[in-house]
Amino acid sequence: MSLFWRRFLVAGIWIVAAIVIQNVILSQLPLPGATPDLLLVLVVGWAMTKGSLEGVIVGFVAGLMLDVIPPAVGTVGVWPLILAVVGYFVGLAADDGQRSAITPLVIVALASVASMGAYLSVSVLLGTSPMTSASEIIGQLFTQGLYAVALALAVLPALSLSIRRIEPTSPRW
Amino acid sequence: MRSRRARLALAIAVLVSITFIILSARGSSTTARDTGSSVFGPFERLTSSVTKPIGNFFSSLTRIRSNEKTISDLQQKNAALQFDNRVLDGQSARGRQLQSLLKTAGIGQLTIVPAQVIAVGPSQGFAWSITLDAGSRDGVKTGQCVINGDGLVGRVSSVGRSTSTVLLAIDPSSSIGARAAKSSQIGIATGDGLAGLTFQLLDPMAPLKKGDSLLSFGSKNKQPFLPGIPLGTITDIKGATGSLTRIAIVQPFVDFSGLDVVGIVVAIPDRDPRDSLLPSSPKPAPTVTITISPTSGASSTPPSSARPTPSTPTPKPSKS
Repeated sequence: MSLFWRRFLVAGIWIVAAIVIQNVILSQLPLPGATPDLLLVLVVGWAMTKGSLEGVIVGFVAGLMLDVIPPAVGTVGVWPLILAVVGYFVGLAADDGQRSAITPLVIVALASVASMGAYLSVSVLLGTSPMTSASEIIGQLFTQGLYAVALALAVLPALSLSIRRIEPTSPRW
Repeated sequence: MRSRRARLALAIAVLVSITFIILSARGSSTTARDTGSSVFGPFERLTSSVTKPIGNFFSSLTRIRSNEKTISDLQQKNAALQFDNRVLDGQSARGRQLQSLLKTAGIGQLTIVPAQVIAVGPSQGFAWSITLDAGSRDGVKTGQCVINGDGLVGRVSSVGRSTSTVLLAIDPSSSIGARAAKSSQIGIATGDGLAGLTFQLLDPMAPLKKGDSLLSFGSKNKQPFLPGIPLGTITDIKGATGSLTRIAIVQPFVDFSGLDVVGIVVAIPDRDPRDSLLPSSPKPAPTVTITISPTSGASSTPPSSARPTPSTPTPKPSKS
């Protein structure tokens, strides 16, 4: 199997595993606020390692899966849109930024808050906006960023390891 | 060069996403969802069957103290129920006759597929949905009503072979025709997330009381919602009588954050079950459609004597 296909197989396995874990385990934990967004951390991690082109592709596929795998309801297409854009910009930011230990965590936090803000905005545009209070939305945004950083600490090294297994030249953090 | 390709990929991804959104808004996303449910549902089933026992163990650890309280509560309740049972024995013979006369359907007349919750939608979508471990091979179809022992849970929104997705009644996009049990007034109950439901009367001048139960009004051909399934209790009323914005805040009977085993109604009874599914069995509200006796006044008497309510003489067990 060529390197190209191996890479996309690995990405596919990561995406499905992330969504299943998110829906079956993380969403049923008695945590306050948002559900830890494993999928977003995965897209951000992939884009940081492999650049914006693969960030867009992985983000798009991951979003599409999220909109299709049960118990998804609502409009299909919102998450692929958001995650593709997130993948692109994270890829750009990682390309020209000099790396430190803290940079990936800041990027993850910003990306998770931005993705949720984007989701709310698109929902308002589509007329499917959730009727929630401002305080609840702020609480969700805050916990979202917090959980994303916590997940990133565990997920990013594992992701980087699995990418380097198929491609030893890729950067590590 | 590399960034040009990335920009191109981004443009394509955005265009394709918008196409999906438009197609989905026109209502053609069911096939994709059903396929997703068939292909990926088994993964969720498998993961759930592995992780559920572990999760149950840890959640039972945190509940040891409240379990003791639950046991003593249940013992008290049991004593009260045993007393009620003896009282009921004498009335049950008469009750059976009246029941058959009324031909109202009990909850036993519904054909229910029991199912377990295996996945819950993440809260950042602000959508309230769950995955169940029953699918088309168990006879589940899109649009069927989902209930549990407490009342209405939601409706099936997509079905895979072995799993199905349920849109919960508290989802903001869920609207259910409902009727206040005592005043018989009809309106629309809309989901409001964990805050419960909001109930808006069709007639702004109609009377509405706190503490009144809300029952589903029933959909056309009883799909997706059966009539007479309990929704919740009115806890607060906002707005003055006559104002167009008068809404009632409804506390659902179902504990949506702790859903575990639910029932999917796969076959509906031949006859209207009316209000006989209300949990604490208060007087079923006399509806104009019950015309079993020649005199008009008698239509409300059989239900009240057929199902003795907690308000009819039920001395506390301490007195006996």
